[in-house]
Amino acid sequence: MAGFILSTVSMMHVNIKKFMTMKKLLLISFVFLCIGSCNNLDLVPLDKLPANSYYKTAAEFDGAMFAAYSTIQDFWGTSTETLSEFGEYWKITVTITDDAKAEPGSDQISKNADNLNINAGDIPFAAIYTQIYEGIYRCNTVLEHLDLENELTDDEKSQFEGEAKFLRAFFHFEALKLWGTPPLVLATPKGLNDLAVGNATKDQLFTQILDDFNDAFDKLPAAWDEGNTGRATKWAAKAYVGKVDIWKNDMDGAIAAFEEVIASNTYHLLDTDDPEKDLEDVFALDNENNAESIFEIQFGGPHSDDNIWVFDDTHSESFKASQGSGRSWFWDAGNYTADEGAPGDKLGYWTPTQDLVDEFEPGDERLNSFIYRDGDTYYVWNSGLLELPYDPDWSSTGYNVKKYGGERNVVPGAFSGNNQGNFNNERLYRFAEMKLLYAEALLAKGRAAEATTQINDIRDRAGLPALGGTATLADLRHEKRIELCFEPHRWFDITRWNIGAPIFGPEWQDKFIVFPIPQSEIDRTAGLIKQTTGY
Amino acid sequence: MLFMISPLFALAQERTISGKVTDAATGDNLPGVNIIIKGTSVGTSTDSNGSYSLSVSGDNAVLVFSFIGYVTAETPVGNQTIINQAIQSDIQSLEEVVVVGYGTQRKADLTGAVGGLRASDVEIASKPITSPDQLLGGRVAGIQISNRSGDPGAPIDVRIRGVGTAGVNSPLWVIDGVPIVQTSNITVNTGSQTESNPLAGINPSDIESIDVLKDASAAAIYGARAANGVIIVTTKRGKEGTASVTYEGYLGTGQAWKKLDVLNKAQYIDIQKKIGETGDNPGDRDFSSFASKPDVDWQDVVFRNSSVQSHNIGVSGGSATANYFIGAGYMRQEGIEPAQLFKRYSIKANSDIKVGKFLKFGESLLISSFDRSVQSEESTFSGFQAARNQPFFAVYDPTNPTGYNLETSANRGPAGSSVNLIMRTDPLYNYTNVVSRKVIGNIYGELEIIKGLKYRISAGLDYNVGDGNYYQGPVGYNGFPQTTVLVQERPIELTTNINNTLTYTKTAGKHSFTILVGHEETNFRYDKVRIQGSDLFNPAIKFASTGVQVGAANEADQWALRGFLGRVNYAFQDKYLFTFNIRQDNSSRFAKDNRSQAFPSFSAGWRLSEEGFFPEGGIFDDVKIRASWGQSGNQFTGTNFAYMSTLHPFIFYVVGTGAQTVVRGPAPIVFANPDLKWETSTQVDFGADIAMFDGKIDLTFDYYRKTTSDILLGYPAPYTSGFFLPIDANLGEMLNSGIELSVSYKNNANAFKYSIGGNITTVHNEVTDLGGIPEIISGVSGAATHRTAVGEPIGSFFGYKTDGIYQNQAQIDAAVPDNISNGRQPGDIRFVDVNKDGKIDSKDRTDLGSPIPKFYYGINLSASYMNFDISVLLQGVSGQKVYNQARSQMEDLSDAENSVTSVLGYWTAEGTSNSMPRLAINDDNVNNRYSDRWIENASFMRIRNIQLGYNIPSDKLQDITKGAISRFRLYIAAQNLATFTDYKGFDPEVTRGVSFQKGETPLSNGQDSGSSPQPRILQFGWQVSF
Repeated sequence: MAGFILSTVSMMHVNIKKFMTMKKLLLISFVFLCIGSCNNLDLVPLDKLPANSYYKTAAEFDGAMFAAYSTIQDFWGTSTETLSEFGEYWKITVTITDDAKAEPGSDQISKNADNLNINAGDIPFAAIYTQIYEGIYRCNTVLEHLDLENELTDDEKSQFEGEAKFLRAFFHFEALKLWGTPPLVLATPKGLNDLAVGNATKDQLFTQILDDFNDAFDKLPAAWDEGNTGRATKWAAKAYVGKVDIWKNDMDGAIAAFEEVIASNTYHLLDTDDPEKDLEDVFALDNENNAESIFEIQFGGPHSDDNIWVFDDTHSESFKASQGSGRSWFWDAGNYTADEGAPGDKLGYWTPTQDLVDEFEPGDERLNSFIYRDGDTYYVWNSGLLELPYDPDWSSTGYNVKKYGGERNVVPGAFSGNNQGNFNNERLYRFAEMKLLYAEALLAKGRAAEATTQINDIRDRAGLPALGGTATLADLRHEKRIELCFEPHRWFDITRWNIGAPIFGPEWQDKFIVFPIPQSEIDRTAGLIKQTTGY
Repeated sequence: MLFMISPLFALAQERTISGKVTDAATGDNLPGVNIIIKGTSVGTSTDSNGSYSLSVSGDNAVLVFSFIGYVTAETPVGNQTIINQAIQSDIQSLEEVVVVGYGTQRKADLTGAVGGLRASDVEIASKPITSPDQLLGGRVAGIQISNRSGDPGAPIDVRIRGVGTAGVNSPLWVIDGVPIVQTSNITVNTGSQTESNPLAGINPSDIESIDVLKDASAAAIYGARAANGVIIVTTKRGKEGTASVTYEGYLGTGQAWKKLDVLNKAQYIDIQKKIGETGDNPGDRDFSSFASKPDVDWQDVVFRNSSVQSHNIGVSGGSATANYFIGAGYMRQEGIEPAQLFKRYSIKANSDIKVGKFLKFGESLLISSFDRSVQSEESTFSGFQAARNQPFFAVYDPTNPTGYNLETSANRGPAGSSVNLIMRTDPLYNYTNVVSRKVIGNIYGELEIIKGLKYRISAGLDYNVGDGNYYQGPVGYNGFPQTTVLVQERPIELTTNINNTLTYTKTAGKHSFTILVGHEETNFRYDKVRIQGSDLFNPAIKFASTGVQVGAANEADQWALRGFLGRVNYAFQDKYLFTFNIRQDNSSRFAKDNRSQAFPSFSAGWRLSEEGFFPEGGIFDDVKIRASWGQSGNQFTGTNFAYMSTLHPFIFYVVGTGAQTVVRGPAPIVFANPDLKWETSTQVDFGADIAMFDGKIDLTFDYYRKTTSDILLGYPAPYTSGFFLPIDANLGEMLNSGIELSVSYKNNANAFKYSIGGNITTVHNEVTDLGGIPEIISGVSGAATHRTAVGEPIGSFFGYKTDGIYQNQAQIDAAVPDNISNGRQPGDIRFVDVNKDGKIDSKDRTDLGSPIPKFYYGINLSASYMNFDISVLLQGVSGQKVYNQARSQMEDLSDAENSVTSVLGYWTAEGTSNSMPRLAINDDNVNNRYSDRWIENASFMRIRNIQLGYNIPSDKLQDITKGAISRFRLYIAAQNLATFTDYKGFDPEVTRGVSFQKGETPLSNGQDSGSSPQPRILQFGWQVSF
């Protein structure tokens, strides 16, 4: 650069030197050179970290792992920034089932899901799909950096490998449940030409998911210190091995895995023979990550920023989003027909169906614990606790969801400033579910007596008498529907058990066994990914 | 004795000279001609009749008559008292000078395609516009201006010769030598509808001239930032002569020129009942209990008569060694919807000072401040939302403590979602405002080292401090208490620019040349602090930090650019003209290996009319043909530092027992593309400039062909990549070609003078290569509504084709299966199996047209008779399509919001309709899928401005004001008086749909989300010169 300027100046010099004093020439040279060296072109980002300076210490790998966990929060996230997500995972796992109804005032996607009006272009599919593969990318990032130069000890490396594989398997398993044959991604893309990945087969997926969970079982700790509670453990990995085996229809494998988990004595049902308190304990904000919880998605607060935009990674602006889900915003009573409306400025999109309420046996404490009905006291947070008689006119069905709510959970510190974010963790995989999965495997293997014990444990906790005889598949399905209502499992049971037709009647189509791959992904991969059958 | 004394007496005393100034060729009286006494600053100008009077002492005085477009004449006074002066029209405007970047050039010597306008032609201060870009619409061939919204201060799309890139298409604006960095940073917390026009801080009234460098040969001197063309703004400077003061102002009112024709209460209740009956719970849509409520026309409630006013005062003058211009402006323009207000204060000071014979200094300074109220997310596009409100939903409820009718089930039914837009825009409950404080300053020094050799150094800065506030009050729209929220954002932007140039001009015999070499450094830095507080200590104190919960975040960015430039102009015998430009730029926005690039250009002109063989005295006065080739660049990737892998620090998770801890999880959020490099646009231009019939007709013609290669494009990556946000990449090639033609004719018949001008530009936009990628499907907010594919215009609409309605079951049975449908019934839309594969699925989506116009045009008419003048500007855009997303909502036959009356023709039985489907609460057939039903022809022609003025005759002014006022013009005017279009929405002038991703969206443009229509503004104004 200096050369250019000097030559420019000297060219001028030659042409004009007889007219010009040396002083002027020097002045000009000086100005040019000074200015020329002012700007620095080797700039670095001011608000981002160069990746090549990260992934060195254990704390940095912790951060990289947290990034992967963070994407799971987004399943329930709300963001008008990206795809206009509004708690999409609930819509396609709960609202869509016979347990919940989309209220007349809810959004179109909820109504579509409730009516089994399923379209590849609908938001939930792209919303969950993007989060799953973002999570997988972050797992693969950790795995790839373990082999590069860093300060980790071998033990630390092993542990991070286990944790990354646990989450990678978790994400792939979610994808498998949703789409049947989604892509399997085991490496981060290196160039613009290897971004698209085609469908995997079910076999490939099952093999990889089980390999990853088994590896995680070998490498993860049985428990974390207090400061790290909530991260995946060894026994969570094993419990998932069993669950994946169920989906794979490998009942022997499932039984073996579940029995190992049970034998480890890591988990137990919260059962003190006080059904009301026990059921409350399971979902209480002050009892997160309890002994019944195998894998729990962590939400926490109170935090600073507006809304419940846990999509803190795709904002057009940088800010620390509240780490909350919109649970009470979506599920608490809205204002259906009551003249005064329901208090709390909640959306009240989804409500329990009469059909579900009818499913409860008389004396089942879970009805009181999970569902608000006429005569109940209703608790809702609106910058303060509101406590008033429940009015069935707040919902078109006369019911609202109480699970995760109620007196114990409507407390200061449980909600974000604008009352929309809810900081209670999502108990994604509970020991109760595992016991019922175990029972299902036992039933399939003709070990009905042992299955009955498992089911009766659940009934006992709910304050119900033991089954009159040996458990049948119908008993299991009934028990599971009640115990896990409003948790994101029933839809996957309906599709796995293939009981859509009896439940939904003529609305049911066989294609619903899996969801459509998001149309935008088919577009973005230029058709490399094939749509699932029937869509 | 007396005879002897009187001349002496006259000498000692001043005497008054008067007379008329006329056009030497036509004999017309010429108003506005400057007359000064040579060597003094004493002078005046002619009135509307061309008359003047001036006090002169002595017989030795010489009067200098000067007027733009005329040859300056000098006349000794002698002993005359009446001097009628005829001045020669400078028909070829030979001396007219055009600003070309780092210098000026005689218009006659131009070899590139340059257009522009002068303040004196446009009467800028009388236009009810908020920013200078709005001046260009319809006036300059090749330029298309589209307003994003009728909200004053909203961003404006400026397109020179089509759409050249997939990112920002705004040309580079250079204001008094300072290149302006246009960003979307001045906003708060909200979506694209709250963005402000980065040029809204610039008072159009300060502008003297705008020059538009359209082809590469003209623009290439700006190298890396010139791919979209360059617009050079020169603000007013003082002239040697008397000091003059002008005051220009207007008052006006704006109104909506169109309302949507929506269902009344009875129609709404009736159709909702029928929609309800198609579902399982008919009661949900039974609004009969509201039948006794009064009808409410929500559009009448929301659209208002806005008030508009502007005041500009300017003082200018100068001597032989120094000149100055000082201006101050105030503008206040309300939008026609609530919570739309634009206020601007500005101060302008320009001066030039000569020191000795060889040295000159000068400065330009603008200090301005604008305050905008914008609609919050909760009340975006109130006009459109108003049309969707239930027609019985009241505005006020005196029985409620708030005074407002609340958004409750009791007031709108369980399925109703009417919103009280008046409450939502009441600052007690909610507001968003955006403030921008701006300084643009420039200082230069110029030294004439030897005759013809000039060194110039110029340093400038563009400093912007923004302040955005979003507030949510303690009471919700349903009347329940809610937590107060205040978000405050302070973006600060600083662009510094310094350049040095050496220019050498020499004429040697038949050769004349100018050589320019230069060097430029530009630096941009941006910082933003954001604070959010909720549960404020006391809402009377609007400090986010007083919240019970407070959060904060930062953002920052920087880039730097270094350029070396050179230009040679060479003319032989004033006939053969050549220009060679080169600029080498180095940008921090690319990796080291891709950092620098040279942008050359070459152009030549031939003034045929100077040739000996050219017939003298024919109809042609001047004929020039030109040709140019050149390259320019674009460095603006979607994300800065997109070439390096970086981790975003604002990702969090939560861990721990008891009091959980929020932990940070840094991760990349965009895929790094190390190969990122310049986008290069190569443009060829052939043009001709012709003057005919003694300057009565001027004609300019250009053919352009612009090829953009290595397009910087936000590539929507497959999600399996792990990335949701688009990847910055250089992808493919795009062509823009077309012709520009502008013609003007001016003539007069005695006192009646008139001129008519027109310009038209055609655009052919086509993607010619996509680097092997078959197509890019994109849309606002992740939607799939547009496609970019080889052989089509960029971002074409992409969806299903429809073919009427299934009239009976037999037609359905005979039709191919529809995989998108969840069950077809008679009365549903028949979608077309475009690819004829025997089924309707996503592969049947197809090209539905382009949002890029095929041609656009402007027509200018002006005439004056005696003291009256009239001017008319027509602007038209043709051949573009718009995705009327707003109508897709207004014609939704399943939801509970109000509809346009066209839905009343819905299908009820065979033969009842072949366009409006049946009512279906669940829309099982997905009749609302994205299809040609929502794509409309949005061609329009608009009477953009019409103005009728009257100049108070100078003799009367003289009488009344004793000469204090030299000019007094009054006018009435109308902006957007009439619009001719078939478009069914509020306004056919549509740019992008609303989303949180701000800026321009060329890959998914032309989407009408119900944006505020352009107001029709009626004005009364005045222009006074002292």
